[in-house]
Amino acid sequence: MKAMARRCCILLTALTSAALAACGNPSIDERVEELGDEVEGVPLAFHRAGQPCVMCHSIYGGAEPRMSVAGTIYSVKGMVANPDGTGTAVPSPPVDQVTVLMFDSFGDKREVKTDCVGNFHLTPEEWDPFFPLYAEIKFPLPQEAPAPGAPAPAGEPVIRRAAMGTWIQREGSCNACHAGEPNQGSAGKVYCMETMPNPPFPFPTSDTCEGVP
Amino acid sequence: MLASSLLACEVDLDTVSVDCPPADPVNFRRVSEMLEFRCGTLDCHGNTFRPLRIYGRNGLRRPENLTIDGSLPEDSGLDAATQYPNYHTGGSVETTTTEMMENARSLCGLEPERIAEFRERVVKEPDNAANLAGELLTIVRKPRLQERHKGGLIWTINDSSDKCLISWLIPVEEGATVPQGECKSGNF
Repeated sequence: MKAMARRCCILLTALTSAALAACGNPSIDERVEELGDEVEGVPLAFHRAGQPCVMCHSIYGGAEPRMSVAGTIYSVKGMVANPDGTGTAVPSPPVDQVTVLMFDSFGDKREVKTDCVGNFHLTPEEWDPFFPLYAEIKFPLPQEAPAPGAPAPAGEPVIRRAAMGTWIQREGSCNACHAGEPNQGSAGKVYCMETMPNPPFPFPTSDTCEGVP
Repeated sequence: MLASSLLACEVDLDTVSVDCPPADPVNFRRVSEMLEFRCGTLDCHGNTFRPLRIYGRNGLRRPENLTIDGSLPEDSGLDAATQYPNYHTGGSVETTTTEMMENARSLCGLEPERIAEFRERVVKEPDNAANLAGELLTIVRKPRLQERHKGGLIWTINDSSDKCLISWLIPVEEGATVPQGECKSGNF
C-alpha cells in the first residue's frame, strides 16, 4: 500500500513538473541560451555589458534585481584602435558616469548614471514607467590627465548631450534594439559621439574598474 | 486510391484582386512616415515576429543581401556601392519605395476584404468614416485601444495620426491624391 502511494506521489510530481515546464516561453528561453556563459572573473554587479538585461531580470527570467529599464552606453560607434598598440581594432570602450535621462508618457522623469562598464539600470521600485519613453544621455568629455604632481584641471568638464531619435515603445532592455554593430534589424550600440574625441574616452582597466577582470 | 490522394493535394491558386489603398510614394509616403514613427520601432511592429510588419529608416529594414557577385536584387532599389553600406537601422538611406510598398501591403493584407468593404461603404457615408473604420478594421481599432493591443493606446479617435491613416483608406477620385495634411511630422 505504501509503495503504491509512493508511486502515485512520484507520478503526481512528474505530471506537475511537466505542466509547469509547459508554461515556459521557448522564444525567450532560446534567446537567453544564445547569450552564452558568464565571462570568467567579471563580478555579477558588472556582468553581461551590452546584453539585453531585462530578458533575465524580469518576472519571467527570475534574475534579481528585477529591472524596468536597463542598458549599456559606449563611447563611439564601431571599432577603435586597440590601446595595446598592436594596430588591431577593438569595440569602442564603455563610458562611466553617463547620465541617462528618461521621461515616460505621463512626463515622469528619472535619471540614472552608468557604472565603469557602461551599464545602468532602474528597478520597478525606482521607476515603473508608462511607455512610450523619451531618452537622452549627458556625458562629460574626457579631460587631459594632469602631469604627475600637477594640480587637476580647473573648471568643470564639458558636458555633451545626445538624444534618441525615436521613442522607446515598450522594450525595457536598450540593448535588445541596440545590439552590436548597426544592421538591418539593429540600431547598433548606444554611443556618446560619432568619432573619438581628443583626449579619447579611456578604456576601463582592472585598476580603474571592478568590472574588468 | 493514390490518384485520388494526389488530386486532393492540388491547390486552386485563383488570383483574387482586392481594392487596396495606393502604395506609391505620392499617396503614401507621409502616411508611411507616421506609421514608421508611431508603430514601426524595433520593439513594436519593426519586428519580424509581428504579423503587421512595418519597415523604415529608423526601424526594421527590408532584408536585402548582396549576391555572390556583390550586387543587389533589382527590386531593392538600392545602389550596392553607395547606398548599401548605410542601409541599416538609423542609417542615412531613407525609407525606400520598396519598403513603403511593403508597408502598404502589410496594412492592406491584414484584412483585405474588410478594407475593400470599408472603401465601398465609406463613399456612401463619408461623414461616418472614423466610426466605420473602427467598426470594420483591426488596424484602426488597435492603436485606439478599442481592441486588445500589446502596445497599449497609441492614439485616440480623430487625432492627427488617426485621421492620417483613415484619409489614406478612403478612396480618392481618379487623378486626385490622398490628402496627407494630418500626417505632418509635427502632429505626432
